[in-house]
Amino acid sequence: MKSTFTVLALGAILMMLVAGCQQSTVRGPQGKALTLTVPATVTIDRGQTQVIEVGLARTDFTSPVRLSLTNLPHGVTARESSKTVETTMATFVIQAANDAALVTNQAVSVRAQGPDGMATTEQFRLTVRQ
Amino acid sequence: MKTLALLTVVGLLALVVGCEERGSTGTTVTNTTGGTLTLQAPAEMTIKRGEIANVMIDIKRENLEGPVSVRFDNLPAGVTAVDRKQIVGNQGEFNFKAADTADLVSNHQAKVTASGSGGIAATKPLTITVTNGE
Repeated sequence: MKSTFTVLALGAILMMLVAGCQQSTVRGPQGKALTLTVPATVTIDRGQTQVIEVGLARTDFTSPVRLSLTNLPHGVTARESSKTVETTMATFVIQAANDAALVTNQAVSVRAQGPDGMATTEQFRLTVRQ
Repeated sequence: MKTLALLTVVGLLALVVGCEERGSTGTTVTNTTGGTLTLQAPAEMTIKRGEIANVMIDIKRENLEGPVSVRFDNLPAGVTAVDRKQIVGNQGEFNFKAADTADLVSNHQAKVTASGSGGIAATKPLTITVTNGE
């Protein structure tokens, strides 16, 4: 079972590595670990909606992970800026208003909080285009 | 008196049947090793062209460990499932995107399948309606 999880987690991480991503791992007691993977860059056009996929690899635990998204540019909103997930990946849906601030490579943070105080934060660069 | 007794019996039967229906909203399957997987999903979903909609999938398991994969089949043309996630707990949110040119359909019959270890899989119908964006 543990090996199945590991293979799946490695597969997801590998896929995101190929696509370009940022990732960090926090380790907890009894071998637990939580790896958060986010895309390196995201681009959205004013007036458009975009899905952001976040990878969550759990080692030796299966409990929910709390995710939060912060520091979005003015005029860009997330359908849910925080959520608790029980999946290997999570999706944030963001929308840029027609008058959203035009920014290039603004750092947006994703924080993941697991059990036993495990928490890690990663950032991706968000560009809003006309 | 007989009428009252009859009405009482009918009422009790209705209550029992009602309880069974409420308790059977999911599809449950059992594998050869005694593991069970129950899939609970909304019966229907409406999505607008050009937008993203989601459904929450609930899983109940007994004697079944490991991630559960979720697959959507027979989606309307132009509607795609955007998630590649697996459920490691008991619940997952799955998103769909309808293209600007997605077919406008009413009560289109798609299906959702949850698959766990050992080949166990439960399937439920999912009725999808695609409407014009504006």
